[in-house]
Amino acid sequence: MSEHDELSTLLPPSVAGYRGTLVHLREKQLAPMLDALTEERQAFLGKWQHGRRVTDSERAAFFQALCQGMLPSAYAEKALTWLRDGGFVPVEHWPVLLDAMDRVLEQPYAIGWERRAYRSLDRAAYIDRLQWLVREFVRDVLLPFDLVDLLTGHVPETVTEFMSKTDLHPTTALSARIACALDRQDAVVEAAIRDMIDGDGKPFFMGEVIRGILWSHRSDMHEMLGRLLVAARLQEGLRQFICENADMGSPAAFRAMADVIARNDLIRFSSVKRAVGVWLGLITEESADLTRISGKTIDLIARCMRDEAAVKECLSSEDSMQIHIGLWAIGVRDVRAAVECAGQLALHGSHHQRLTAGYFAAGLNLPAFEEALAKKVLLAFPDELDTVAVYLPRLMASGAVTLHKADLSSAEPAWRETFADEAEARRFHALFLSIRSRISKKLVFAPCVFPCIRSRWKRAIFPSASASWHAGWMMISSSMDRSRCSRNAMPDAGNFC
Amino acid sequence: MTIRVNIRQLGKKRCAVSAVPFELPAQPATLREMITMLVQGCVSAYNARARQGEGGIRPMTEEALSGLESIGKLAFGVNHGEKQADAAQAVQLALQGFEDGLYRVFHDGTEVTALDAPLTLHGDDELTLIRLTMLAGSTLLREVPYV
Repeated sequence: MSEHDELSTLLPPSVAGYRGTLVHLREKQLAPMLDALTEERQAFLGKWQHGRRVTDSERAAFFQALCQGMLPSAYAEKALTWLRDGGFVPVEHWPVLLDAMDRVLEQPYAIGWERRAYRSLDRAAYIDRLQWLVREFVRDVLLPFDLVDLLTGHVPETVTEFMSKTDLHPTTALSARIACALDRQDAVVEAAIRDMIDGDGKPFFMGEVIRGILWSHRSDMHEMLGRLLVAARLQEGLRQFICENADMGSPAAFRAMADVIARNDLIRFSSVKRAVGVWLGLITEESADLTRISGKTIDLIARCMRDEAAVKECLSSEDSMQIHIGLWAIGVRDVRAAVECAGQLALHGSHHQRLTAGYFAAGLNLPAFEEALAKKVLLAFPDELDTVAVYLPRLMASGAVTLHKADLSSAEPAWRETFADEAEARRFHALFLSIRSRISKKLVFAPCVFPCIRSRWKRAIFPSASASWHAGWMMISSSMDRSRCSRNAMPDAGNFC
Repeated sequence: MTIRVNIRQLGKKRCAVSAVPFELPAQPATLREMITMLVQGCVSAYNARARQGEGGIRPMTEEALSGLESIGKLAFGVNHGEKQADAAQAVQLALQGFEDGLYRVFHDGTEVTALDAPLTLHGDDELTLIRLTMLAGSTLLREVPYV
């Protein structure tokens, strides 16, 4: 019997003849169910409409409800029950989905490789994550299996083998099931996990178990995960996985992991350094210098996550790392407060605090805030060229900015995307001419905010009085530029900043 | 006292392990002391090579050349860096590395697991240090980005 034949025996007879992976089989199952839905609901579940754009009105309605402060689970009970009634999420797992939806609100709002640890009190900020969560539940291939059986390996070997070999299948639902079971004090699930980590049990779905523990509110399980982190020794992969997921769970779990790292000086391992750098937004694809991350960094993180006084102390210092971590620690609790604080520092703080606030703002994935702040700072401090160097790329966070003398008064000028009105556009045009007149061919600021960061400029990017000017983000040749999520990653970001 | 430490010798064939004599300034009472003395000795030699620069180049024998060829790198082993190694920091790192399990130590074929347990060394005793490799991934943890 071939592997595919074997897999097909695990599924209902309706799809038993299909030759494919478990994921493909699930998609085969879903296809007729999706076809029976309206196009809007199909779009909500991620079904791509060939060559046509379908209004995602389901998502828009969900977003509106979140904007009004509704709990995701309450909205799901009110307007998403078609998922349950249509068989997309099994009835027995519906409460787990509701639990996971509310749980997401205490986790970071951003998703993807460029995510940061920032959380928001604005529920609307989580629309992407919530929609993703629903899709993960719908596409999950493990829901038919009992959770304890999965954790103890009492499922067909083909399933565990398939899950360990492929990385394109959804597993978020499994983590959500584990977190939910732990918080409900499910003794059997807890025993299976403890046996896996503390005992001699063979580990199954370890990644999902780690995420489930981090999602849970069980301090004893966080403590056990901390012990696993300390005991990892040569298992750099395990250490990397725990640390890289530590910021994606509950705030309590994050604090516990930060404490373990600080207490045991685990920052000496490069995987931990890298994870901490990613938490802070100090390590990107363009800049991966691990020397910036030290014991001092993790000590500050651990202190600031627990002690408000430590945050205030950091924000009043002139040390880049302290200022950055102070703002970051506020953002981990509530990004709106961090945004306000960064704005205050940028406009009313010292010169160095202003530069650091600009660097911090660039990592928030909030282009609307970045642009608004950059405009204020550039107009307030046009004489500080290094400040201009830090904030100018932020003004162009959403893409190219075009300012043309002849264009300033045309009916549909391109600058309307960035500037509110003609008067503002003219102010910035004059500002850029002034900056151009003050710099030579090339200008380099090094170090800029942090020792390893430098900002490089070319005079040519600024407009001359007569020539047209087209400055795009790609023309600001600066190592401070970071790749960022598109606006889509943070829907209606301006809403909460 | 002199002990023999098994290391892969430069210039020899890839996997060749030979016992290299190491002169210890005193009789170490524990593994901690022994690691400290070994590291201090290595740092001194390293710093001396750095000071000597290219003045320390010696003609290569045929055997050394063929050995280096087999490992894919022909070099005189000259330290071109100007920075001197810090012995205290190196010792601290070596001890931390042992505690982290990055390498293991065998004394005459028996593993020594405790840094501070008494250690009885005699002249010409054989010591083997094996460096272990970090497991960068795991079959248990699929390398998938979180959402």
